[in-house]
Amino acid sequence: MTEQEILINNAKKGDAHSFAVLYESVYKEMYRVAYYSLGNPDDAADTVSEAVTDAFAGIKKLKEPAAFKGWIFKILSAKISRQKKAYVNKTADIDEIAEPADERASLLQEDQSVRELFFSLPKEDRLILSLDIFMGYKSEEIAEILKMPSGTIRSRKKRALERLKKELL
Amino acid sequence: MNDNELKDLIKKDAEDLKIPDRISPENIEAELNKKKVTSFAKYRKYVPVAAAILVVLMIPIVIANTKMGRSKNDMTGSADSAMMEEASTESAEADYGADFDSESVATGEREVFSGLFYHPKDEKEIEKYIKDLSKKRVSYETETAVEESKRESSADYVEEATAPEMNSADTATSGAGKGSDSEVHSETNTREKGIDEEDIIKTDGKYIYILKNDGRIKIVDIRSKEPVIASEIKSAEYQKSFGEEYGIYIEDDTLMVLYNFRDNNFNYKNNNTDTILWGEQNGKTGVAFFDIKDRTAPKLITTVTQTGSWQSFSRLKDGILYIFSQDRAGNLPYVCDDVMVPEDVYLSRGDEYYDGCFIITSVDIKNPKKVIDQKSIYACINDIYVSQNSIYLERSGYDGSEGEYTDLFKFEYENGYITPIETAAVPGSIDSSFSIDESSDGTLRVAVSTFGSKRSNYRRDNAVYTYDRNMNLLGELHDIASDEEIKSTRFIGDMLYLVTFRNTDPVFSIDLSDPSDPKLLGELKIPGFSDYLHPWSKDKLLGIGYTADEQTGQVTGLKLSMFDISDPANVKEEDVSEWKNDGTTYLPGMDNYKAILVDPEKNIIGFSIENNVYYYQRTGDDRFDDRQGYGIFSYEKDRFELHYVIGLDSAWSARGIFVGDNLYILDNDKLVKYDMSAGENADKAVAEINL
Repeated sequence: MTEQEILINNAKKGDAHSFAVLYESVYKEMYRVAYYSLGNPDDAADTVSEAVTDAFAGIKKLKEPAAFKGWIFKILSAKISRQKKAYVNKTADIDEIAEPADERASLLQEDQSVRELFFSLPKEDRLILSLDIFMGYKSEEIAEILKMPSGTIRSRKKRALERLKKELL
Repeated sequence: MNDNELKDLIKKDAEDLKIPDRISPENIEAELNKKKVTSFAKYRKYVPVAAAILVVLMIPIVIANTKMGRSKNDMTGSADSAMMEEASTESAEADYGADFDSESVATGEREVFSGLFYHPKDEKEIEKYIKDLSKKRVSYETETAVEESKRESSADYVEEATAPEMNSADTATSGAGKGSDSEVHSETNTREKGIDEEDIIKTDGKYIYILKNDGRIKIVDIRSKEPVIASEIKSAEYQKSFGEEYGIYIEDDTLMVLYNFRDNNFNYKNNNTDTILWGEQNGKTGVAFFDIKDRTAPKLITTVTQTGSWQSFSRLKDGILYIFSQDRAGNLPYVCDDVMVPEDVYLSRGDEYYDGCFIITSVDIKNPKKVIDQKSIYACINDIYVSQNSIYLERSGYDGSEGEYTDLFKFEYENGYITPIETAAVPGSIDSSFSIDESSDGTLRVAVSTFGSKRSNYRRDNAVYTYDRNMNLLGELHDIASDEEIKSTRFIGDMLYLVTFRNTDPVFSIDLSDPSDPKLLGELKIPGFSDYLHPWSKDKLLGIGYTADEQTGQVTGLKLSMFDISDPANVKEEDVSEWKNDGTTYLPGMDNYKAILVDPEKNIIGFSIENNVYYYQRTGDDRFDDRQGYGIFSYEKDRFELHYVIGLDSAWSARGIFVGDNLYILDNDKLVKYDMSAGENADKAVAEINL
């Protein structure tokens, strides 16, 4: 058994430490995807934390230890999608929620503009691009995670990148 | 700037992100340990009952399947306001006293599925059960949902429209072809012969019915040379919750559309406010029934709704629609406006605290205002298999000492009535719908992979198990292709054909004529692998799949195989066709068998293909060529013939169907017609219609 398989087996038996070791290998990426999709550090942390709690409770259902990463990102993506629905329900637009000032101050001028531009994209596109950029997932894999046609993923991704490029020039 | 430079820029930007301390691995571990005490501890004591013993101890028990008190679920199409809802809930509660004799449900008779499940005494017990299941985790979403439901509870919501407005095209009835008998046409490729499944396209030979991505249904009249849109159904005509439609059925003059939605108008106080795990508060599955006697003016008959939107399945057999839905958010089991009666609900004694209710209902499509039967089991079901007489629910689980197993819950059904039979835990996991099958005499055969099981020493292994009608284990066969992965399976009569894969593709034939002694008959090793198997004729089995590099196992292209199975002990690959390409090949039909068109009588094989060649991987150029198409093949004189490939916008959701000699390709928002008898011009569109 690989180390990951052993950790997953232990986690399935309820060992939180093994699970935390698994989590350590993905949490930075999880946070980045959540932050870039939701555009707010608090919501991003909440979403990661909820996804992890769910993943731990449901890890018995994980069939393929090798699929751990994809599986936990599926859970995270579902959480992110729901977060966004919640915003819609609240009729507050995600783009209007300001980031804390210190978070911004630490950014370089160029990076700041990139991030702000990124946040100006439609919400779904941000999630799609985040999964591509931070996770390196291919369109087919993102399609599988988000339950969307891969053709749609490809065209949205292309469109979003074109838009960013145009704005940056 | 090219795409990759832009992505790098964003990536670099993200590196500076400060990650909040509260989600550091240390703090998360501490959080998880806290939660564990409250959630795991509660049900631990029941653990020893699970899995291991089940396989050997199968005591058939008599289940009191009372059919009392169904009147509550006659859907009278009420509920146009919160007030009505309130009233119907009250009357439902009042009925329980009359219906339900708590004494007759003394402990013994309350047990089902070998005592692993039991009937609650009353609705209160169901509520308490859900509360116990729930972790104390009132989420942001839940709070919003409460507020929202408060806000919206008085909103006008008409479940049954009196006269829905239909958009019918002026050109609808052209008169041409009127009265002519409908031609031979393709049917949705289903798991089990004679049992229909929902899909995004259906035809009856005269019309094509299409569920579009945007939820609209288009009825297309194909009786004349130019197809015309006869009418359109918008989802707002039967549901106002922005739900998601996922499939349709057609039977005679009835059209059914299935959808998931969040029932915001639902009487929230009856539901639990803690979420168990996933899914939506008040998430539901619905079916809208339309009378389409006049194809230009569909009329809504009624809608049937039930708790659960996490996962939904459906089957249509002999005019009765079976609707399956999984809830994981701790909602009470509702069918239409009523909480299900206790004798139809099975609560679990197991430790699966994250399992919500799984509901099965049956509806006579000639009389959809009345639900025939309904059952709810508290289990998280991954997949279902419906044979001619039985329904099997599959739940995957993991046991610390034994490893992976799959619980199967068997029900029998007849004319809509559903009776629980027994359960069994199969060691291993069931990878596809085609890996579980019931023979004509009622024997259940299951092919599993046992990757995470103790029995196989946590090695990848595959096995076949057989069970009798009461789910007693009959026979087993182990060590089939150790270290290889099951890619596809097909049961044909007493034989099982099983394809595994590592670097080459062995096709195994397994003889199940004596269920107590399954025998491995033969094995054929070939390069590549079939991801889908379809019986082509008595002696032939079609395999659709991929070519692969024998050294690395990497997929290199598309592959069709025709296996000669006239001698099951000596299976031969009669013909093979391969189309290699230098990018990635993906066949959406491999993940969704309904997207495959196979009809041996018509001699047609069709499916969509995506060949993606990412140039930038080789040249650094960010341009990529995206080739998607629908391939039409036939098998003549022991050889595959590729007739043509039709270019597509979206291979992912494309479908091909035929009516007579005409082929119709659904591609995103257009339906294109081809004439298969036109020889060289068969790949030229005859007509095209925007949907």
